[in-house]
Amino acid sequence: MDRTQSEPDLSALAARAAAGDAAAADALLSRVRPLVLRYCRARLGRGGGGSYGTADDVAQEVCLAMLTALPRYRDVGRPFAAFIFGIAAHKVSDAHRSVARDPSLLAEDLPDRPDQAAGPEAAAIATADAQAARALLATLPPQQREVLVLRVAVGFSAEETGSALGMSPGAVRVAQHRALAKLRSHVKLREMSA
Amino acid sequence: MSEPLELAAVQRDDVLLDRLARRDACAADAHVVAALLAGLRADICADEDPPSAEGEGEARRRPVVPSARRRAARPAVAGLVAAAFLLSATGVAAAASRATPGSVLWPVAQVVAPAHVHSVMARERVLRSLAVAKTQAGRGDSVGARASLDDAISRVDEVHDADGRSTLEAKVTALRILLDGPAPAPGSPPAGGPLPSASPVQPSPGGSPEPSASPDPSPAPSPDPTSTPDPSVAPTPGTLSSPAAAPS
Repeated sequence: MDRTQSEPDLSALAARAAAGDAAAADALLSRVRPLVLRYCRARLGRGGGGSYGTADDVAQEVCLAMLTALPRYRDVGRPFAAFIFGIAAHKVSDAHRSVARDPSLLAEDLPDRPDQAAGPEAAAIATADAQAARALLATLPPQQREVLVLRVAVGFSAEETGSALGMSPGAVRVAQHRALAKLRSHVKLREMSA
Repeated sequence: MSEPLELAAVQRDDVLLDRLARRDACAADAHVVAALLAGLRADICADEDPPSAEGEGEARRRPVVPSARRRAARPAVAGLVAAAFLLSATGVAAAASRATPGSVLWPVAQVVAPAHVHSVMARERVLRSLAVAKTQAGRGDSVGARASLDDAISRVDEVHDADGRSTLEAKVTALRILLDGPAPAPGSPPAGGPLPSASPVQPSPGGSPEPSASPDPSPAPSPDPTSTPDPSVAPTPGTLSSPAAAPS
């Protein structure tokens, strides 16, 4: 993966966008949105019907919040990735809370057409690994989970992950190593008990 | 709790995560955990960049400050489409439909509200043509002024009422009378007094002229028709510093 997608780039783009540069805002949004989308999908998973609808909606909210806050954004040394993934983490938490609060969120509309997609079994098989990975990640402490989500799902380097989480790259490498070690032992325990 | 770290193992895991993030298939073979994380990554990105054959690395390798050519191509379009997707279902779409050139939402408006964008761009073009026409008239270039005025006239209809069409029409009419006044314009009643007649034109469509409209047509008070071009009045409307209306 190309590592030129670095924090200074995003921060510089954000500063220009905040100053009213529409082209910079456009570029920033097109760069940030896929990252936010992956993050929200990794954290929230698939919803009812097996779609990423809720996660994508949350990603949309994050981007809107970013656009809204952009005119007030000032580059004061805080990495822009920390700014955007701070928003994303809050929105994801809100989404978790609202789902827990409102169990009636099953489907927005009843489908009025036959679903041509793969059946539930095929879909479950296709996404089984992802579901299992999410279940494993949920067993980690929040910081280690965030590190792995940013590294694997979002595709950040250790340096970019450190920028987003306010950690040094070395601390990120140690945290991810410990997180993987925990996951491996977790899996081993499961295999032994099975 | 914290067992001693083996540096090589830390580095191995770092490499593994890099490969997982790259969707390197071999990474998934490392361990069950790696396979599961690879599955997560694949599931998340299943519908990402579908038509692109360039691969993720290429997609992310956009220049920090893209060249005008590249910006005009796929990345910008992708961004705008993404923005349209983002905003279409929200109230921000309404805000985008009122965006002006230079505002943050202007690129979004170009997708969400193309009709509004077209109207605003037409307004810019009309204002620019009027400014040029006035300057040309001030220099005594009546042919050039007429051509610029005609260009403005041809675009006025593309401006929506909400974007100040009535004001523009008043300005166009005022300038037309100014230019045609001395000439033998058949059937134009106010031929005698070119300048004062510019203001009565306002009542045309909207009835109530906008504040910004009044200063412009009214260089009239000066008795000399050649004094009407007032470049300081015409050029740009408020915040719009848009270069977008480049004459083409």
